[in-house]
Amino acid sequence: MELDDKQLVTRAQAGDRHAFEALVRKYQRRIFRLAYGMLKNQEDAMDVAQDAFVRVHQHLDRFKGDAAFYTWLYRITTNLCIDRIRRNRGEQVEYEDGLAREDHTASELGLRRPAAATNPAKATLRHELGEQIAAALAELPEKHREILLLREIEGLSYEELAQTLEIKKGTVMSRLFHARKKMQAILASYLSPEELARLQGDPAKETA
Amino acid sequence: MSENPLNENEQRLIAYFDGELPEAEAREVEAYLEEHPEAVEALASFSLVHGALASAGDAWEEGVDFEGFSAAVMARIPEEQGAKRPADTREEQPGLWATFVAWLAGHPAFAAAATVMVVLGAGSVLYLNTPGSHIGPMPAFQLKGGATQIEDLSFESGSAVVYKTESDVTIVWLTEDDS
Repeated sequence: MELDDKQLVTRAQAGDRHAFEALVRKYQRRIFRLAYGMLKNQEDAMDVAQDAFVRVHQHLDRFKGDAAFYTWLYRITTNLCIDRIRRNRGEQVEYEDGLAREDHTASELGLRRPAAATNPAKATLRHELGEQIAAALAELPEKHREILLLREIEGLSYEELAQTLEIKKGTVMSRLFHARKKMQAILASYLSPEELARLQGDPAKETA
Repeated sequence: MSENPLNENEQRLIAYFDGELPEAEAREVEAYLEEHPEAVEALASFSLVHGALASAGDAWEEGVDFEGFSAAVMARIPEEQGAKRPADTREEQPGLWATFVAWLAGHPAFAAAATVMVVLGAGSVLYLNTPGSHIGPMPAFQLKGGATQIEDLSFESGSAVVYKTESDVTIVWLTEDDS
């Protein structure tokens, strides 16, 4: 029988490491995606994602179950991402060769899987599109970035967004509205008309 | 800085797009959309952003190996949490602790006491050693009447005062020299 989050958290709070590991496995991809969308760097995202789970475990006794476990986990992750962004801003001045260093380190850490199982051309296109979208996201203020990621990728409801971001539901709606408007304008400068048409699900424009 | 508030139409439009409207209100928005192409355009831009991010989320995961992720997290938990445990703060006091342990090794009768509690400095409990007991944080306590001083030891890096309570608990109070 598969345990739900509440049961796993209760067991983890009682010291059951397997229960906590099950929570990590369940949310590791989502937390990585959220961190990557905030940070636009695979190595940082992996690092912050792991930090988030470690932090959650350290404070597990404080989790009372008033909200869903994942909204708490998302909140810790976005806070850690914002800390990392602010720290990196200071570091960027010092490390002008950052890109080369990051690529080398990511490879060393074995973060990349061989792409043999996928169509290389399609995978490359998807990867490039993903990078462009990440670059577009990076132009948004942090509060717009986090709300878009939580809504559009993680699918949080308004209520869950309000809990995670600790804002009112009315603010959720207005922030989301303005974030989407800004993101749409930025995407228009990053993506070709074909790519935009494909993302909007318009095959006629896509092939035109 | 607060967000610009939305007008009623914008609120209904975004809530409609996100499926947050009750059925009856959603039908009203659909009727509104038929007469307002600018609102349809706004929905299309929301849809574009949604499509972009949904596809990006999948792309970001590609090539990332999650095989060792949970193991890496679990491997960090004892280290990071252990660092906060009083039992492990002994590494911060290597001189005095090592000296005390060496002294203890030379006093087997003392080491075999039923309960030995070692207290560091101003009262934080460093180590509790009882056969079958735990090592970990202890509540703050005060020595009251009933505890007898049985040893007063001096080491190069500090001192240790040994007490015995009425309930036969041996308490060692370690004080490290400032220098």
